[in-house]
Amino acid sequence: MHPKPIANLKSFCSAILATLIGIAFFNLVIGVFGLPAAIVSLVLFVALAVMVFRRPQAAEPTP
Amino acid sequence: MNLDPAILARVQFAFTVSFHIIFPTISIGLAMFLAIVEGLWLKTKDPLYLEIYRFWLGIFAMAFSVGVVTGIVLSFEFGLSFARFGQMAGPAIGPMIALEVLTSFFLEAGFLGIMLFGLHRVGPKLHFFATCMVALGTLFSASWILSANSWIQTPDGIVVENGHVVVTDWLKVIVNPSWLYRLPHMLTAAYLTGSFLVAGVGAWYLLRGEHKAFGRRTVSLGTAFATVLIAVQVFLGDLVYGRMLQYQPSKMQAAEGFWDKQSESPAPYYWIIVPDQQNQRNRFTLGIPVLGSIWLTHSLDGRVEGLKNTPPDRQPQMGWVFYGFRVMYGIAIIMFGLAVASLWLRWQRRLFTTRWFLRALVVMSPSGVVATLGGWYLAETGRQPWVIFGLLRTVDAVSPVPASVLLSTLIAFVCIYALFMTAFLLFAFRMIRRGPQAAPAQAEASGSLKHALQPRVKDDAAHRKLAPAE
Repeated sequence: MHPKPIANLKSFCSAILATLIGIAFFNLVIGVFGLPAAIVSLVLFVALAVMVFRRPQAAEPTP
Repeated sequence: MNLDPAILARVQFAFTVSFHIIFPTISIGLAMFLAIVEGLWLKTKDPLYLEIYRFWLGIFAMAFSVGVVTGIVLSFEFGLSFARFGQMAGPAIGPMIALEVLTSFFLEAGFLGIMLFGLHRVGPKLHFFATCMVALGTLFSASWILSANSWIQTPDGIVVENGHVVVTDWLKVIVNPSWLYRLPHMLTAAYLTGSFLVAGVGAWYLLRGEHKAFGRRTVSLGTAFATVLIAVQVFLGDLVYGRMLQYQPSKMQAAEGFWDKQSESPAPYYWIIVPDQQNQRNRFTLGIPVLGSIWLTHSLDGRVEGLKNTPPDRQPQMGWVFYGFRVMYGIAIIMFGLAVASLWLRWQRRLFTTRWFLRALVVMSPSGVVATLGGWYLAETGRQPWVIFGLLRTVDAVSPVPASVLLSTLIAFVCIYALFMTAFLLFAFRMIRRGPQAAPAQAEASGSLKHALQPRVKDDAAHRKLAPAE
């Protein structure tokens, strides 16, 4: 059994999940569910983003 | 050939103001970026921040200078093309333009020299102060211009006597109903423009395998700022939308591409339309079903008001307004998508190594400028047929100038501005190709104003030696 297809599947699923979360945030922030929800989701998005910014990045592609 | 002076005056103003807005958008965005980067350099003493500062300082200086020159032209055009607007609205608009000069231009002029040439002549803290003052000056400038522009969109605090505006409440003129909404929207657009520009250039270096440390740091900074800013921007955009729906319903009716007083239910969200203004209908539409109801009425079956709610002689041209809005909003959606992608890639620690993402950043480098232009086309064409909304029609504001004069000056503007743009792009691309290490990376100064007054440059050969990149 090769680990690569599983890794690819995992990466694909996480990409889909990220896209869905992104669409949800976009619709929340533009006020589809009202102004209070827009403010809360904006604060949450920024807080999540700041947390992710702190993650160190690989300088070169991993083999 | 029989040319209409009103059309020529409008084309000329549209051309010069469209050209102008490109440069303040870049310089406002880069000024704030430079202030942040210099602050980070002072805090961390990491020479890479100074290298980033020196590199972007040159491009900022060019954008700033072209922005100032092309901005001055606009003031003269009020006289050349729209003298009747000046006669009527001068008492309200004139002081705001004068206050822009007094507050922002004087502030910028006082500190720009130190910012551009003082890195080796004054102390780092004073230099940082100068950079912050220039950034503040650009912010003040945007505030006054947005106040003046918002006043012609939503005039308040005046009465009209004998065809002239008489100010009754200055606070209402300056803090008019749309200013507090449009100002943060425009400032965020400028900061987004700077962020995508910075990230795009960094991504270009990473794709080419050059200046990697510089590229990584600028991609990281640029995408981080862009991620936060685009979320804030879509939030602010929705607030501006609501405000304009209240004060300029005709603009927002045109922006959504519906003609009928009430659209079908559920309403689609149109992306492409071919409007037929004369027959008050669309020849062709392409949109996403139901999305119009969700986004515009926040329900699954809501109806959207169309342009027939506004009498035909008070309607803007739908095509300009619709596509101005779609360009701005479409780019905002792509920016938001890239911001989410950047977060996902950061989470996976692949932000600097994912080539499709870096290519997308390069393509998106000028996206902020294009989106800003789209937004201004929405704002200005949506205000038509008024120059001061509800008070003065554009055709009544035009100067009694022969068409030949307007045509000849328009041709002159096109030629001169083509030279400006060519020079700007040529030098900007040259600076980008030469790379960040072409600029000295080490500032040396005593921290005293004394040296600022001495002509000696403290930038000897030893100080020119480049510091390690990271």
